[in-house]
Amino acid sequence: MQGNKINIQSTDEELMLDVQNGSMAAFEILYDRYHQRLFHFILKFLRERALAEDILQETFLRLLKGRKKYRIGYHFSTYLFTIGRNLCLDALKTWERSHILVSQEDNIMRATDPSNSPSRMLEEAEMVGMLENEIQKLPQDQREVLIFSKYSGLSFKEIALIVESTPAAVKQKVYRAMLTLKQRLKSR
Amino acid sequence: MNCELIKVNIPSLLTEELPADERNRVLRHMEECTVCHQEMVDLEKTWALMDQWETEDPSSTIKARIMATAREELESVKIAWWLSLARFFIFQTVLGALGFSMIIYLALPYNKIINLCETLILNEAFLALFPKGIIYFFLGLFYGLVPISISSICFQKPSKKNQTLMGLGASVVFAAFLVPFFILQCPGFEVGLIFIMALGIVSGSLSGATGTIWVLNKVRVEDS
Repeated sequence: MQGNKINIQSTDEELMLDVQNGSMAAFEILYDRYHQRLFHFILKFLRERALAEDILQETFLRLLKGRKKYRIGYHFSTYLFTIGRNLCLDALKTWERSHILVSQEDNIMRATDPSNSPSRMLEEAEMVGMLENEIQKLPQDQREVLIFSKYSGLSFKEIALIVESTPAAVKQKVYRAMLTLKQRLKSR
Repeated sequence: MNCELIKVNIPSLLTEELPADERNRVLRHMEECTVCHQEMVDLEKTWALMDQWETEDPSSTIKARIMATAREELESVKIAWWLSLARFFIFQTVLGALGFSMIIYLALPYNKIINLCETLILNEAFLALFPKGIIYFFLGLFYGLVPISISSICFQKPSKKNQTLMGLGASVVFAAFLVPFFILQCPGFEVGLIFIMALGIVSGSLSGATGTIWVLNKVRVEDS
């Protein structure tokens, strides 16, 4: 219950059980542990900061509202990222494509702004801008596993659970995505 | 191992997820195979470039926002279906009773209302039994207790803060309509009784808020 002392070293799963019993402190620890990784994934997936913050908030609230559905044995990070990923996919369906394209252009403009840096840094920034753009152009299934593996700190096994696939298939998709990126960046 | 199997393992090498023996096998292959080695070098560069993709953190206010909503969610009480149904009927009954009272109030001549008040509450038998102060204290208690209990059961998703605020609000409105009626219209009223009645209203409101929270917590049901 709320009054109980929460051990900061408890595992995610133990904390989640405390959350089920109404512990605000346990929820806060879980938030502190995961919000950055989750936000990085959402932001890189959607490329829209305000929307990413809304989805971050919604993910944690859904986690809380559905806390009784959580069962011992569920891997917490997989559980949380699955909620976040589903919300991202819903948002993508409803979000106007033009809105995302505008922010892509903003990023490229920012990356290629010559006033920011000397020529080498500019070249690098240009590359990063291009990379961001090329990642957005990847097929959605490749893009999400690539972002998951690079920015969320999840293993291929965990990613496979989230996207309902196998670790081998996830690895294959990441490889293909990287190959595509490499080729596209070289051709520029 | 053929080259395709080796290449597919490059992501695992980059994320350091490859078991030691397999990792050694892949690296040994790369020492011999320049094509796979080059592929590894190129993908490593792409992977490293991805590190430079700026990672922003969420705004500093978002945590407070999420925690506030979370606290409200955790404090809220889920009530049983039968209570949901009951509170609907209670609400309907209260509305009906208020409507009926308004009709009587408007339809009856004024002196009849005063007589009714005297007959029901401030009658001689009653006054003989209890001092006037006690009667007014219990009247206040009633005005404080009833609206807060009904409002917290009927009107909102019960949380401690909402319940208390809403109940107090309802008490004030209820008292604002009915207290002047008793104060100004009932015979034998004394100014000192206002304070006694106010004390009753405050006591009623507080005990109503605490009582309904206690009752609602008792009938709390868990999500299935």
